Amino acid sequence: MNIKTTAVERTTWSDEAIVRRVLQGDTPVYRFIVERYQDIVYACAYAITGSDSDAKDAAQEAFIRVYRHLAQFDPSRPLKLYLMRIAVNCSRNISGTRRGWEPLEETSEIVKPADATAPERHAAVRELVERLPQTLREVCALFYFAEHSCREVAEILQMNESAVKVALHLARKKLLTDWRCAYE
Amino acid sequence: MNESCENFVAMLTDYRWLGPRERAPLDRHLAACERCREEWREAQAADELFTGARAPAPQGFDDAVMSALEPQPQVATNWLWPVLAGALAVEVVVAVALQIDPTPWWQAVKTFCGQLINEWSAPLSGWTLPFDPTWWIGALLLVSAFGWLTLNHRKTEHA
Repeated sequence: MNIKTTAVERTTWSDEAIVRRVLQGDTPVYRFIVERYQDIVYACAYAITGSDSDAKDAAQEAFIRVYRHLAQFDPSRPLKLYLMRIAVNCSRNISGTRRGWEPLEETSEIVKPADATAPERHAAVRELVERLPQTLREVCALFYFAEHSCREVAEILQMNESAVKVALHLARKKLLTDWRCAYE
Repeated sequence: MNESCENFVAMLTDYRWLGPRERAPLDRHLAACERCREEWREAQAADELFTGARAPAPQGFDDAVMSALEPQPQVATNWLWPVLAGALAVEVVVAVALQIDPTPWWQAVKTFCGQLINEWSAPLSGWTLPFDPTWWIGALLLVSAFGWLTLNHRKTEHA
């Protein structure tokens, strides 16, 4: 691979190509992995931890851990799944440390704005996700925010695919019911 | 809900990843089954609810990650054994060549090297070193190999 490539060319590199490049000592190229996945990793971490600062810490920790263990990672396997599995673990660790045994469903009431703007509605959806039980929250975050298929969600969470589908069904029902109660 | 409906509802969850061929039987079933259509509407409503709801990463997140990274440790030892084996092989070839003395040219080189080494080393130690160019050439090769490996390791560590 030619070293004298532009940023535009680099962003079209596959994850595998970037990983191989980083392993050869080109650390700055890892930025393209971070830029590519930072939104989904942060969104999932936020959904699991329910806090902006915790999500930031968990997401950052996930990227750093993946970087440190790149030498043990098989570049021909999907990096996104590996990254998300680590992100979920980091979020669980931080969430477990900070929240303890506090029941998530009773943490807050949904604020019902009279004329909610799109950002307010999006924030309200995220808040509804936070109020789900942990497994449903994780399944929802990976399926909707990280856009993984049920099979991939099952692989990341090391669950049965049918269990993921059931969890998703339950989460969807609860979210829609809560949403309609609050907004319709 | 019958068994067939349960299968289709399970497929609904992954609808966005289904290809046209997989969607066709599902679409036909949805057209005929009101209960599954209701499930379908719920799935669509949830998809719509989540559209754009993903919280973006904070500004400067990528910079924060990049500043926390240290260079990947480069495995210089990957080169260690091949380089040392190469040096050893050269040493063996030279040693054999010197022992065989196939030509007067080799004999001349051997004598010249021996005289040179003894002339240089004698004033330093006061003794005349036993001459065996094989040792000296071997030592030189090994020192060069280690020197090259050390330099290469430092260079890649700071890349």
